[in-house]
Amino acid sequence: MHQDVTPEVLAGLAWYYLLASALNAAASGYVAYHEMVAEGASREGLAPRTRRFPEWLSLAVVGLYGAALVTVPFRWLLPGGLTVAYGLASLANGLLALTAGADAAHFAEVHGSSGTQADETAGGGPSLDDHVPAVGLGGPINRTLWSLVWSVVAVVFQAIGLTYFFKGPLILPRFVRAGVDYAAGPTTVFLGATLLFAAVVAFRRVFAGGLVAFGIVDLALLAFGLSLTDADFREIVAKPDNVPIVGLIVLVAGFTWFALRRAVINDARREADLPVLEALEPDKVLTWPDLVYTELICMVALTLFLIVWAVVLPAPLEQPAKATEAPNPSKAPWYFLGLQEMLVYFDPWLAGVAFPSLIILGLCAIPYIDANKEGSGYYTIAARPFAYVVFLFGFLVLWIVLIVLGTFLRGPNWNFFGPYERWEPHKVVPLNNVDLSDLVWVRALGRAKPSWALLREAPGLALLAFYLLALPPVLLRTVFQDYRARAGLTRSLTTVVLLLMMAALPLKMILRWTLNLKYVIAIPGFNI
Amino acid sequence: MSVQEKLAAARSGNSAKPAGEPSPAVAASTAPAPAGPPKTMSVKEKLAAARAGGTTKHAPKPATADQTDAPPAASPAVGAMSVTEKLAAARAGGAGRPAPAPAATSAAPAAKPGGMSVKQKLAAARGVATAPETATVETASSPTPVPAQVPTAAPRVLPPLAEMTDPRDLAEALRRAGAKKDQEAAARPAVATSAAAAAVPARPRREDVLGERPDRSQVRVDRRGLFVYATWWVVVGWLAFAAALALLSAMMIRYLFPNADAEPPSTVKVGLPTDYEPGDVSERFKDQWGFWIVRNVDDRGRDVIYALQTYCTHLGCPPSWLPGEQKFKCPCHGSGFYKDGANFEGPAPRPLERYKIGLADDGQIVVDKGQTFRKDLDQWSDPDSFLAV
Ligand code: FES
Repeated sequence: MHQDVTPEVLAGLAWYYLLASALNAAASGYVAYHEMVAEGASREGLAPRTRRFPEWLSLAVVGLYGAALVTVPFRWLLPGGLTVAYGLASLANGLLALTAGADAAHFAEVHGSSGTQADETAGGGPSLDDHVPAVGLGGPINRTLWSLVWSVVAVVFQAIGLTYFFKGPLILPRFVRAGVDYAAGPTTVFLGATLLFAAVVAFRRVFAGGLVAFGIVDLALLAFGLSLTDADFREIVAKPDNVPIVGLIVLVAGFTWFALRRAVINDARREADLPVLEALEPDKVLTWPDLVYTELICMVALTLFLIVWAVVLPAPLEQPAKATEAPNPSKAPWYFLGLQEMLVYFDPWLAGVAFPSLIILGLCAIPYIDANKEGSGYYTIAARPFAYVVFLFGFLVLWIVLIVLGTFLRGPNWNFFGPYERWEPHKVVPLNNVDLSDLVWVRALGRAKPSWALLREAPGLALLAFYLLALPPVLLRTVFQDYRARAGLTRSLTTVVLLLMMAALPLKMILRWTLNLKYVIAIPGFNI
Repeated sequence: MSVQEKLAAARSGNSAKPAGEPSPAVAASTAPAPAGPPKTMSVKEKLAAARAGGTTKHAPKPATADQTDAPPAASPAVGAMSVTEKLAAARAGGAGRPAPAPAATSAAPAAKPGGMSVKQKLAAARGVATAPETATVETASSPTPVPAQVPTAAPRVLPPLAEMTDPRDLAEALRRAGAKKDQEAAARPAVATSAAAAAVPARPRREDVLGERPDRSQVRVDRRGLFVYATWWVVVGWLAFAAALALLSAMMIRYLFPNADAEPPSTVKVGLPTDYEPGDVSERFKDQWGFWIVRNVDDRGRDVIYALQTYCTHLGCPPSWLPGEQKFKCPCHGSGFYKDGANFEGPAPRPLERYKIGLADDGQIVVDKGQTFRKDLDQWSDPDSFLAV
């Protein structure tokens, strides 16, 4: 049962790579032929279009795909119908990719040898052959080079797909899986996510570029496709419960990227004294028909999608409910898995009641404590870096990553499992927790814990007092000095206290992972 | 002349004016002439105008079957009447007074029957009085308003206002009050000077309109009236409501005292102490009773048997016994407990609890779920919390 590849898996992967290849072929065609106009830049001043999507190519691609689509339902008519369909579709991919690459090279050659073409303006002004990305996204890109790159990627993906189609077992090497499993752990996942987040914010100009983003998409596609050859990975990812969370990761990443890109462009435009992108858009549209039509189309599409989803991936019914037996692992609905992960580190009252209320209150309070008047009505990072970083860290790292961790990496007995690890209910993880009092009295001072609770918990109480009483004034005098001058004492104090509360979550998690620290203060009925 | 103007003219106090005055010839020639941009009346004004005594309505003159030669130009205008106007017109038309026959039927805008609103039709059908639709327009040449000959229901005798109970009676009284006003208005001499002037009547002044509202005293509904109005069926309604409420409350209260107590007995015999090997964790009673029977050596080296509750002290999930690791492990957030129930990993704040345990007269072990013992409260030294073997 736990086979890495089965014929169905191979077939599925073949189609997966066919789509990946089609995506890259389309990208190649886009870079080679499309009139690429950067956001906000007007078309004036650019040379007239010198490149056209060849008519025969569009005919061929549409025709081949159409023939493939027709063949699929009638595959019982001719033997090997599916093979024919797959061949037609991959032929279309290859044709598109190769033609686009060749044409791009040809254009470059003509451009280079003659300088100008008949329908191109003379003079050194930018032509559509030099694609200048939007302001802030770097210099002109070499269209020839990138259409060639994407066409090569498309061909490679198609080759992988064909390998799978003809039952070539191409699987992720064992040692890679073992290495990933070995390296994976709550700490690495969390710290890795934090570092990745920091990198994305720091190098946002790089990430905002379309080429880099598409490259990342390609890598992700490849990594996901290869991971799917692992039985355990597949089992978790393809579970009907978890499929939406895979989609959620894609959606969150996509929307975060779009927002980041716009913010980067806007920041560059503001620096160059240009109006922001949002100022270029008409600020009013009609309810009817613009909004209503959009909503109607969305409604229909969504209904269709939900129906297909419900039919294809039926919701699993689990064992009958029992008071004395819970499924192992017992998981909350996916949107609560972040909370459930918090519950591992805190007393139920804190993680289940106090923190969620604080999160909601804190989110409600943002408009009142935010003294920065900039950045309303347009995407920006430079104008409000603090708000951007804090919010996205809270949302992406402290919520989405925890959901992902809880969904994919928490197995039986709530143990942590690597992405390619078998969910073994008897996995032994030595996790002997200790309280802070143990650490201080027993390990550091080498004596028995005092029996009197207040004295026993004195270190924890002192730490808490320091964290909540001493840190805020210190922070207000140092890091938040400017903010305090702008926003006043009440606001800055509220902000600092809320921030400390937010930071308490990752701090406690890291303490648990590194020191096996259970509770800072452990008084019956009151644990922190 | 726009429909609105016509309506305004018709509804204003000088109701008979526009259609009543002009000679047939003049009317025929002048009436269809468009008279400038339509005046816009606010809805308030329209309503006020409609409510005003002069409810005779000329503008949407309905066409009888033989009037197909009426200028078609006017018919779309009728169709364009707003619902409010139609309603007002319908209400006015049903006001129990004969509608003046049109002076020039050929000039009268032909309203297609299809263009009649449902309300109009209803009003017409109910017709205590002449609805405009049913008015027989037989006198094309008559310059004066002529009461239409309509089969009118014999006037009902209404009880005095103060003693009315039926809402229909009240409505009828209101209608009649309005009709009386109409008659007064129609009796007033017409003052129109020319057809053209009549065609473009001045917008009714607000004061006029307001002044002709039915007086409040005419529809007086004083407290006594209201009280009488609330007669037996209101009482019955409230009584039924109260009864339903009482019944529901009774059912709710009854629900709190079930016939059978589903609570299982709290004590259970679990066999002889010799049934349990040293080091055993018996899961036999987990499903039904919610405890494990554990035979173990305690801190002081005694061989004891105790009953551990199967509820995690974190949030109450049932942990599972892992014989390989000799520990209880919770599937919800990963709390781990040693065989003696002590928590050592995960978020659970304290050890599992023990149930009261003892020996029955027949030598069997009895577990009593009515009492629990917590280690963190030093209750495990209680002799009831374990059974020395
Ligand atoms: S309920 Fe057992 S660990 Fe949370």
